[in-house]
This record gives sequence, structure tokens and C-alpha cells, in this order.
Amino acid sequence: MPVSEGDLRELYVRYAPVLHLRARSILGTDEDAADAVQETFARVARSWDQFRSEASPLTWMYQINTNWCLNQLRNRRGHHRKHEDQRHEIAGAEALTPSMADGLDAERIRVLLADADDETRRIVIHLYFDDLTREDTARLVGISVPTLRKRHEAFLRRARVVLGVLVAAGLLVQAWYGVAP
Amino acid sequence: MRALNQGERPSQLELGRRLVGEVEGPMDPDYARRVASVVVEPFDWEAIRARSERLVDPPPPPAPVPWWRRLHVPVLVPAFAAAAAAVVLLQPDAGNRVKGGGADLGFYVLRDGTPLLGDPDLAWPAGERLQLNYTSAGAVTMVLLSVDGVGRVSRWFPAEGSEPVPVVPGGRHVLDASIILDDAPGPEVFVAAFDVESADEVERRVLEVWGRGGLEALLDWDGDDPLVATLVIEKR
Repeated sequence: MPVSEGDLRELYVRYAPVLHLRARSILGTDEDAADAVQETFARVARSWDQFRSEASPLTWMYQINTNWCLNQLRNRRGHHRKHEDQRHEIAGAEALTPSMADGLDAERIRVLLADADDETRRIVIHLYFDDLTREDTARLVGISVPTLRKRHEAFLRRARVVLGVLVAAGLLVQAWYGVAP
Repeated sequence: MRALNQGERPSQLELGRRLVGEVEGPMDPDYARRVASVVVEPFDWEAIRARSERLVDPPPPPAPVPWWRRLHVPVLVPAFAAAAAAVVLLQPDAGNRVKGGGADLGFYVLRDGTPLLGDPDLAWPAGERLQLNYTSAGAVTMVLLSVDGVGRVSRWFPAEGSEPVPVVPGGRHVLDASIILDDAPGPEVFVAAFDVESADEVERRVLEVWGRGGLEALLDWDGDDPLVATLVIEKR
């Protein structure tokens, strides 16, 4: 049965702000977040019968929203490679999670996501942007907790290498020109 | 910056669910304030409907496995994948061969010939047909065993002999066989070891690790070695 305008409007009023906030934290701009929300509701309209049987509509919409955000991040890949202003390393083996209000940290994570595979991106989004536990993240992604740990640790190892290179590049520029890059 | 959420605080998803009334629980005022400050685009029925009509449906799930590729516990019917194998020395430090963060195992449950994504948090009854999938972290051969609740090992790949079977190194792939759960006690722990010398070697190691600490020790091994993957199937 197709969704009615009234049903979808009611859902939109109820869920769109939460989805917009979440998408903005991942993608960084209101414009991209608005697009993610529109896409999510288009998917809801398309899969209305399936959607109506979901125990947690927001969890279902989060998954749709995640897919869209992953696609956008993938499309930005070339753009993010050009970023050279990330000068802080992620310190230590224990992961640090960005405050949702901390744009710099969120941006750093976005840059690192550009080169990750989709499963890792999904894990990082749930751990860092959604603040989910490892167990909840593993359940949503459909993998075991040990697998999630491996993916996450590999991401952090790569993050340290990438950010380490950027730190070195920054220091080199600073040494040459006597100013912070 | 905050440490990763260990369950001591509600996630953003949980807070969202509370805010929209899906579940009950105390609301974080800061989260509620941030949601309230969001300016969403006005609802546009026509735009959303037009967009939904342009969507492309996701690809269909994998095709059902034909009967001759199915495996049964405790008897495994060898599949095509075991045709040729290469003996590769066990890599004590194989990290430089790993692509994408380590091997892992997943599974589908076959219901009426339709594969459904398996949920490792659920318990599955005897007779349930599972189809395992893997990512090999760049490895080219694999041994797959399982251990039941009393430590009894079943060898799946290779079905015969000790030579590891070839696997596809990139991406996630479905094994060419399905497994029907038996009624042996306890969870069935599947252990895949990639780029190892022999199935005998893996079986010895599995028994040694199991004897040292049971399921937890196997999971630790999985966590420590990027070329080892485990999958725990709880049975009921």
C-alpha cells in the first residue's frame, strides 16, 4: 500500500530534525544534511510496507541515512585528499570520540573516512558520530564484536599513519617558512 | 573529546529514539536543545514522492544454494572450493599482508531457499541451515573448523586431507556450501584461519586455545590475529 501524504508528513515532522542533526554531524553542512533527510524519506516512501513493520523506525531510517552519508563521503574522496590542515594525531591505543559540537574533530574523522572501506566507514560513523557502543555497532553492521575491534583498530592504525604524515608535513613547512602552516 | 561509549551513557540513536517517543528514558537537555535548534526544510510531498520514484531498488539477495552444494553436520559434502589448494607457510607476523583490517566470518540463514542476514545475537535451533561468508584480509587460502560446546572439533574446509582451500582475497564472499546445525551442546564456534600451513596445524591450535580458555580464548585469538576469524552461533 502506498504511503499517504498525511502519514509521511507526520513522520517528517517527528523524525526529520533528529535525522538532520545526525546527518549534519557526519557530513558537516546543513545543505548536505537536508539532502540526506530528503533521501531518507524518499526511501521510506518507497519501502512503506516494510517500514511500517519496523520495531524502531528511527533505527531503520538511521541505516538508510548512513548509506546516503557513506555515498556522499565517498564522493568527496578526491576533495578530502587535498586537506592538509589536520595537524593533530589521535593519541594512544584507546580511541577518542569527537564531541558532536567539535567541528575540527568531526572533520578530521571525515578526512580519514575517505580512504576507508564501506564496512569500516559504517563502524566509524556508528562509534564516533552516533556514540553507539561496540556491541550495538556490531549488531547494526551485522558483524561480530571481535571483527569490529579488528576493523576499528586497523582504522586507528591508518589514522595515526596518515595524521603522522600530515604532522610531519606541517612541521616541514613550519621549518622552511618559520610559520605555522 | 570523550572515550568511546562503553554503555555508560545513552547513544545518540538512543537519545533520538527517546526524543521521538519510540522508547522511554530521561532526555539529555543538551541533545534536545541541539535537535530543537535544527532548521529542517519544509515538508515537500511532491519532491519526496518524485525522488522515491527515481530510486533504484537494491540488488536481489544471493541466489539459493543448490542441493549439491549443501553441507550437513557432522558430514560435510565437499564443494568446489576444495578442488585445488596451495600450501602456504604459517605467517607468525602477517600484518603486512593484511588489507582492510582483518579477516572475518558472517552468515546467512536460508529460509525456504531465501538467504536472510544472520544475527549473531540470536540463538538458532538444530536443523537451521546456515551459509557462511568471509573476508580474507588478502589471504588466498583458508581452513574452516568449528568447535561445539564440549570442545569437539569438526573440520569443514578442507573436507578431506589437510591442505587449506583457496579463497578469494578481496571483498566478502559466500562459501560454496551450507551447514545444517546439529543438536550438539553449547554454541558452535566457527574458526577460520587464513594463509596457514595445514588444517592439522589449525586443529591443534584450536584445541590448544580452547583448552586454555574455551570460547573466550578463541575470541581473544580472533581479536589478536588479523588472519583468524571466529563466528559464534548460539544454539537453542
